[in-house]
Amino acid sequence: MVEAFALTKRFADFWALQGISLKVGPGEILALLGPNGAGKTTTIRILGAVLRPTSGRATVCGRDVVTDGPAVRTLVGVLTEFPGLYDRMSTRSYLEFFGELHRVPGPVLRQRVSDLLDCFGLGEVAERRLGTLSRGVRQKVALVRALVHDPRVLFLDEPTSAMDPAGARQVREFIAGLRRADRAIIICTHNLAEAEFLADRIAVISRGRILADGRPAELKRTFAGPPLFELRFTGPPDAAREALNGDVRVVDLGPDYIRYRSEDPGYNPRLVERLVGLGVGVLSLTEVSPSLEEVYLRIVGGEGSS
Amino acid sequence: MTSLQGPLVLARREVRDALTDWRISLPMGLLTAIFPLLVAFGVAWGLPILDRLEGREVSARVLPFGLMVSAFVPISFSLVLALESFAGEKDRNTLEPLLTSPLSDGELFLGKMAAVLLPPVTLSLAAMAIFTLAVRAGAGRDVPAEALVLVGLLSVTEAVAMVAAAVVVSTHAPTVRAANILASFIILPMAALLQLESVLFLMGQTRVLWPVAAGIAGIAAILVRTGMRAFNREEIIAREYRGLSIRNLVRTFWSFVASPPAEPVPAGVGRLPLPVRLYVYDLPQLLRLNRTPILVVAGLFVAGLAAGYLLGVQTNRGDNWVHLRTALEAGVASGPIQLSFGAILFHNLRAVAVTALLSLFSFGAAALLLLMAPFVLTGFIAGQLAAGGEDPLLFLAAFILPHGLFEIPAAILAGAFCLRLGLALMAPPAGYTVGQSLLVSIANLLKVGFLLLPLFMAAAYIEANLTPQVIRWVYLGG
Repeated sequence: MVEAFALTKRFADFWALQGISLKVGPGEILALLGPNGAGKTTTIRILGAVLRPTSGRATVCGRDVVTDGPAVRTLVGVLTEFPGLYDRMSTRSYLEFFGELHRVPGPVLRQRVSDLLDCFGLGEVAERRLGTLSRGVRQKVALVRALVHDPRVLFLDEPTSAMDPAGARQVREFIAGLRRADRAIIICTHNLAEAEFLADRIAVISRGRILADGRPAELKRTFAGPPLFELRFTGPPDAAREALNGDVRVVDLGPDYIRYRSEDPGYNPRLVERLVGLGVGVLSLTEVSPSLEEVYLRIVGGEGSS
Repeated sequence: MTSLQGPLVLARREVRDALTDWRISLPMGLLTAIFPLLVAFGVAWGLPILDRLEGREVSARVLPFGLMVSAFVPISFSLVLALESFAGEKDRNTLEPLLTSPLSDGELFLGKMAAVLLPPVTLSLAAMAIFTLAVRAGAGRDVPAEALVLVGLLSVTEAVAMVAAAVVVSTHAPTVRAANILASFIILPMAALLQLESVLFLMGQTRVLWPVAAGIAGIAAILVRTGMRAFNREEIIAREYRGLSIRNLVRTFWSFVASPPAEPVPAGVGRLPLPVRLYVYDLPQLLRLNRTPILVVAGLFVAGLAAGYLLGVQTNRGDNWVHLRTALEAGVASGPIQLSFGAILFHNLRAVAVTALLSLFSFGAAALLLLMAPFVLTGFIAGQLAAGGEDPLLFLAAFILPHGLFEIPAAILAGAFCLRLGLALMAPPAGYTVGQSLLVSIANLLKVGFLLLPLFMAAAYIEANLTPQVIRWVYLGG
């Protein structure tokens, strides 16, 4: 539903994008991760037909973002980085205003606004002025604004950044529900836990380039290095270290544990056997799953040092 | 849904927002209601006195003047509303959600223009009605129908011009505060215009005000076009990245100076040092690329010369040539004409600098009018000579030709590139923003300056040293 080929974007002498290619299918959520200024917002602005690429091509539901901008904007719902609400309007009239801009017929619009307000627990603030609402609620209203014309594609820039944990969870569950409704969704976020929870695929972007793109598990496998194991034991640490015999890379050593990396799965039984032979009591041996944060920092840090 | 419905939805929201904000609506309503009454009261009080002192014909001129003043006060709100609507939305981050809507750039612009024009224009018409009724009730005098139409037209065109100019200002200003400061560029010419209108009304020159209204309408149309070009998603968003820093401006400007004007650059030219490349490639290319404005300016100069000549022939008083010749003989007899090389050169360069500056504010009109003036004057003198029985060609050959060989081409080039500078705001080249268009025009003028300078220096040297000798030789026999 969303396809981009070698997108570049230049602002004066600054290249915001340097060849972004990506695909998002129906019912798929892609998380764009990257440091500030990496090009995430520029990417979704181009895909949302707000900006034109300097070169490259992008389509949304088969419509070209450059030549068919208004049609693309009809198909897309965008949650902007800042909620950008009109403070003097009521929540309901604000949402109806955007629905009218998106040419949603009156009765359908009114019903949809009411449904969305109920769905996000905003019924109580429907008639309140937006300027009186808290940051988290304002962000929810902005999200509802992106949904009011029932778009097939959603671009969400930091969808839960201002929300409390309960609100964020509600929004995440709603977004997960949209995936089931075959919507294509791109989320820009710094919240790695959220990305891991929601995204089918993650693209790490930095300095206008996609450095890595894949399922979270694939990225972990590719970028976290050899599996990390933690051995907990009783007995002298020196004996345990002697048992490792320099065959693996020790990452951390404590009084009752050792963490090491090994690519050879057959090594662990041999190690346990050796430890027992040396009189060391083995309490547990487990594989430590790498966090997405670790993977992300490794990808971005590697790019920074290259 | 027609393409007008989107702008209407947008306009309706903004109008409602402005009218339901008492901080805006209350002063607008009070000023609209009270100010015309005050003016009408003053007019009603002063009319009998003026009738007695100057007669009814003169006193009648005060009525359109009072009407114009009453109508303009609400129109002045349009500037505030426009800055709020364009710069304010950007400042408060409410513009980007609008940019994600299906409305085209033109529809967004149209909706916002309608929103900021509708309340002031409506209030202006209301103020005119209040003034007209109040004068009738207080002084028993009717405002002439012509004045009502003329003031209505002036008010609407001024409002459109101010709003469109505010859009241009807003796209270049990062905040409302900066936009308010830049709005001085709108307020000052508008204040001058109001003074001109006031003088013309009070002098009873209503007929002259119709072309003035047409001129304002033309400027308003140009500004709307410029505003439409400036108000587009690309320009608005891109400005976030570029910012408005002196460093960026200087860097962009220098990149235009350092870049050749046409691509692709022939092999070998790109490696030349800039000063050499300027003369062997950049300047010839700039002249080629700007041949249309060069031809236009040259044609207008010739037309100016011809117009001046015809005027000179028609308005000859017979003794003008006698005065001219007497003055000439007295001047030549008292020694060399007191014009130094430096003074002539400084005068010419100053004329180009002033023309360039004024061109920016007049969309190039100053480039044509200011530099055309000497040609009209020369033609006029030649016409006077012809009518007095003298040979105009001999006059041109003696007084103009020696230094004109260098000065006229330089004036044509200066005029053409000042014209481009003036047009930069309303007709940016394809792929350029309004700001980039302005910078590239300044860079091109700077480059052409390296051709103008030697031409003006040669002209000044000849005018200071050779032309007086030629004049003496031709007219006084050496």
